[in-house]
Amino acid sequence: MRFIPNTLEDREKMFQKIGVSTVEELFSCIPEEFVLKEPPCIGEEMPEANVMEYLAGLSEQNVTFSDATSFIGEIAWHHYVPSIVRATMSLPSFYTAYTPYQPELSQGTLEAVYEFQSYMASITGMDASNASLYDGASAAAEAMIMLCVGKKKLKAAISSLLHPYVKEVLYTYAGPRKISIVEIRSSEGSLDEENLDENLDSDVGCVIVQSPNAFGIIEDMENIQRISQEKKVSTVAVVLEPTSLGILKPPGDYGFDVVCGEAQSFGMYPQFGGPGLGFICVTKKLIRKIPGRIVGRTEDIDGNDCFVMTLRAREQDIRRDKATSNICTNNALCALQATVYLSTIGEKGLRELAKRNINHANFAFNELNDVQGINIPYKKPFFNEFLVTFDKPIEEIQKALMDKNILISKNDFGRYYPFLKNACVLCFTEMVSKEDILNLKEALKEALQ
Amino acid sequence: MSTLKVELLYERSNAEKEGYTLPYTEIEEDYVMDTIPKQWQRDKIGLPSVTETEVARHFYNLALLNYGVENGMYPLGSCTMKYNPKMNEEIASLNGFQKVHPLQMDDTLAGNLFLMYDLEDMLCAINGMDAFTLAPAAGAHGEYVGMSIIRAYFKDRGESNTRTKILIPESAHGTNPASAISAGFSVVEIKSTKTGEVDMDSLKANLTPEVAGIMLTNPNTAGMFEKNIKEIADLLHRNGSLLYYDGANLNAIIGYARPGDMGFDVVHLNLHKTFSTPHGGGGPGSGPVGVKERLIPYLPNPRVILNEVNKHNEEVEDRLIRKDDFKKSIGRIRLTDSSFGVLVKTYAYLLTLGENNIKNVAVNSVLNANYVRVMLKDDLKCYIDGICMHECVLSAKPLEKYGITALDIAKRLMDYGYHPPTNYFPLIIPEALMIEPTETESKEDLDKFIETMKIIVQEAKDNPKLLKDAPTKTPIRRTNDVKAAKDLNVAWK
Ligand SMILES: Cc1ncc(COP(=O)(O)O)c(C=O)c1O
Repeated sequence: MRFIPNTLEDREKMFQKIGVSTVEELFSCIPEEFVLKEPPCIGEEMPEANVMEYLAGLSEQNVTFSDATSFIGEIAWHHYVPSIVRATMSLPSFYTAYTPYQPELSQGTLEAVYEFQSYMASITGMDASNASLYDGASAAAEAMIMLCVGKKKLKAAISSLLHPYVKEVLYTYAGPRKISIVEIRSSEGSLDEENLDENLDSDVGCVIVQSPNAFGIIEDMENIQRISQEKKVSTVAVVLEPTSLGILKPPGDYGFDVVCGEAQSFGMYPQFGGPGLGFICVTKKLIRKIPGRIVGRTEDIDGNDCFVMTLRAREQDIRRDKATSNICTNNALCALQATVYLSTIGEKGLRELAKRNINHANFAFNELNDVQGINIPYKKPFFNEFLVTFDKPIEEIQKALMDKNILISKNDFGRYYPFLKNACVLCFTEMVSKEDILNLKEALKEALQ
Repeated sequence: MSTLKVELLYERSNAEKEGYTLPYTEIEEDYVMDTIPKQWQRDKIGLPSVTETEVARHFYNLALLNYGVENGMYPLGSCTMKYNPKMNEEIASLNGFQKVHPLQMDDTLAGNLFLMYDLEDMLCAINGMDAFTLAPAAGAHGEYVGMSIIRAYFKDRGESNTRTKILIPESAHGTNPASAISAGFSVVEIKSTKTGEVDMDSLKANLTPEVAGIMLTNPNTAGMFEKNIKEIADLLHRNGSLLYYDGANLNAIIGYARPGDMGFDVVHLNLHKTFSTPHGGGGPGSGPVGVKERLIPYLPNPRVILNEVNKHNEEVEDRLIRKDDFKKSIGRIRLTDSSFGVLVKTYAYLLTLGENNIKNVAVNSVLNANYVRVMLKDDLKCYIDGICMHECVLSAKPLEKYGITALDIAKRLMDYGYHPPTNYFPLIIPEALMIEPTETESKEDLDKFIETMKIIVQEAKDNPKLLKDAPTKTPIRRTNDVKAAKDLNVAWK
C-alpha cells in the first residue's frame, strides 16, 4: 500500500518491543464480537492511473460550464479564477497544515488570515472579520444566534427576500435555540419598510436582510438601518455575492452591526456548491462575541512582529458548553484562496469587475425585457441577477434551453413565493458574452412560442 | 525555515499596479451611472494594488514560514495528520467537478450524484450504518446535525419536552458539549476513569429518563477503547436513549470494527482526518453523519436518492435525484448540498485503498502509536497502562522538578524540525503530550522521533534553559498572547 511504509519486518520488530505477537493481540481491547469477520464491502483496490481514469470519466458525465453556458447564480457564482489562486493553495505547507495552534510554525497561515480579515473588513465596511465560517447560510445563522441568544432577545426579524435556502437554514438553527422568526414581507421586489417598522419591538434581537436580495435587487440599506436603529434593533446584512461590494456602498457604512455571507465568488469555482467560504464581519463592539477563529497581531519574546490566534476564551475547546459557537475547523484554505484572489485583482480589479457584471446583466435585461412571454416583474436597481417569469411551465423552458446547451436554475421561485409562477433568477457575470446572451434570447423566444 | 519579516501586501500597494485584466467583452455600454443611484456607490474599497509577481512571491514566502505534512512528522493527537495523497488534489480540480453549479438540473449532474450515492454506500459499509448525509461541513457541524436528528426523533415520539439532556464524558472534545447546546440540549458531564473511559457509576447515577443520549468518542480522547461499550449501549437503549459516536478517532478501528455494530445510532466522521483529505490550515473539512434505519427520516434535506418513478432506466446514474422535501427532516443545514470537493478526495482515497487495505490503516496507526509509547514510557510518564490505540498520551509530569512543562517539550521539538504533539489535551491527564503518528509514518522516522524525544528529556534534566528558551530555530519565538488580546489588532489600517 503506497501510503503505508511499515514493512512486515518492521512490524515484527515493533511487535517485539511492544510485547505482542499478533495483530489480534494488539487489538485485544476490542471485544471479539465487534471484530469484523469480512472486510467492509467497498471494492478492490485500484491503481492511481485507473482511479484517475475512472473519476475523470465520472466528471465528464456532468454538464459543465465548458459544455453549456450557465446563467445560474443565487447561491454560487461563476467568475474567472486566475491561475495564481490554485498555484498558491497547492503549496503543501499551506494545504496540509493544521489549524495554527502553534504560531511558531504557522506564520504563513496566520499572516494570510490577517490579510483576509483586513480585506473582508474593508470590503464590508466593518471593524473586524473572523478567519472564516462554513458557508453563507450557516454564517447568517451564527449571526442570528450571536445577537438573539447573546442578548436574550429570542426573536429574529428576517427579510422574506433572503434566498429561500438561507431562510430554511435559519429556521433549522432557530428551532433548538428557541428563537422565533418573523418574516418581513416584500413589496415590489424589495423589503417592505412599513412592515419592517411594524414588526420591530424590544424583543427582537436582530433584523436580517440580504442585499442584493433573492431576486437580485439591491435593498435600500440606508432606510433599513434607520428604521431598525430607531427601534434599537441590531442589523445583519447578508451578502451572498460580495463582488457587488466592488461598487456598492458597504453595509458597514450605513451602520450595520454585522455583515456576513458567502465569499465563494472570491477565487473559487462553484464546484457543485462546495467548499465555499462563509464570512462574518462585525463592529468593534461585537468582536468579543464573534464565532470562530480570529487572528491578531502581536510580538514574540524577542519583540518581533508576528501573528497568533486570539480571543480564544470564546471558543469551544476552552469554554465547552458556554462557547459562543461550536465551530472548530472552518474554511481556512478557501479564505486563503480569497486572499490571493483579492490581492491579485486588487482595488481597481474588483471595481471594474463589479461594473462589468452590472453592464452584462443590464444588457441582458434590455434584451429580454421585450421578448414576448417573458416578464420582468420588478424594475429596480440590481447587480448581476434579476427575476423573470415565463408564460409557459418552467420545466418546458428548462428542457428547451438544455437542448441548446443553456443552463438555468432548477429553482422555480413560484415554489417559494406564492405570488410568483414559473419564476426564475437569471445571472450574468463577466463569464457570459454578448453572443451568449443573444443566444439565450433566441432560445427563449423559440421556447416561448 | 526562513525568519519572519512581516510585510503585508498593503505596504507595497501603488494605484498604478495591477495584477489582473478583465476578460474580453463586446458589451461596451456603461449602465452603472444610469442604473445604480450615485449615493449607493462607494468611492474606495480598501484593497491593495499590486502585480501578480508580487502576489506570487508574497505567498510563496509565507508558505515557507508554515509547517505541513511534507515538512516532517506531524504527530498531532486527535487530528490524524496523515499524508494527503497528491492524486486527490488533481482529481478534485478537474473541470468536470469544478465548473458545475449546485442549482443545475439533476439530469446534468449524473457524475456528481453518482459519486455521492456510491460514497454514501461505502461509508455505510465501513461504519455499519444504514444511511449517511454528506452535507455537514466539518466535525462540529456533523455533531450539530447528529444532535438535531436525535432531537427530531424524540420530538416525533412526543418526547421533546422530556428528553432534554445529553451525557458527555469529561474527557470529550470541546465541540461535543458546544454542539449539544446548539441543538437545544443541556449537557450533563459524566466522570471519566483514569483511562478516559466512561465511569460506569457516574453513568448509572446520571442515566435518568430525561437523557436523550450520550456522545462518545471511541477510542476515547486518551486513545483507549471503551471496554464497556456493549454494556453502555445496552444501558442507554434500555433507557430509551440513543448513542452518538464522535468519529474523530475512527482511524484506530477503520476496517477492523464498526461503530454501528457497537450499538451507536448516529455517527459523524471527519473526512479531513481519517479519510486523508487535507486540513488546509483549518479547513475546509467535511463531517458526514451516518444513522441507523429508524433515524433516516430526520436526515437533513436534500438527499441523493434513487428515483423510483423512473425504474425502467437501468443505469443508476440516470435515476439519481436530489429530494429536498422529506417532511420529518431536520431541514436544510447549509447553503449548498455538500463540501463536494472534499467528498471527491475521500472517494478517490477509498477507491485506492480498497477493502483489502483498509484494515491496514488501523493496524499500522495502532502499531505506530504503541511503538512510540513503549519506547518513551520510561523517559516520560504513561498514566495509562497497557496497549493504547491510534494515539498515546505521555505526560511531562516527571520533569516538573526541573521546571519543565509539556509546552516546553513541544516547543523544543520544533527546534529539531518536528511539529509538536497535541498538548494539555485530554484535560484529564496532567501535562499531557498526545502523540498520534498515523499509519503513514515509517519505523525509520518513528525511531528518529523517539531518539529526539529522548535527547530532549535529557536536555530537560541537564540544561532546562534550552527547553525554556525554545524554540529558537523557527521564524519567530514564543508569542505574547496577552498583548494580542489586550491591544487587539485584527485588521490592517
Ligand atoms: C475528538 C474530536 N471531536 C470533534 C472534533 C471537531 O471536528 P472539526 O474540527 O472538524 O469540527 C475534533 C477535532 O478537532 C476532535 O478531535
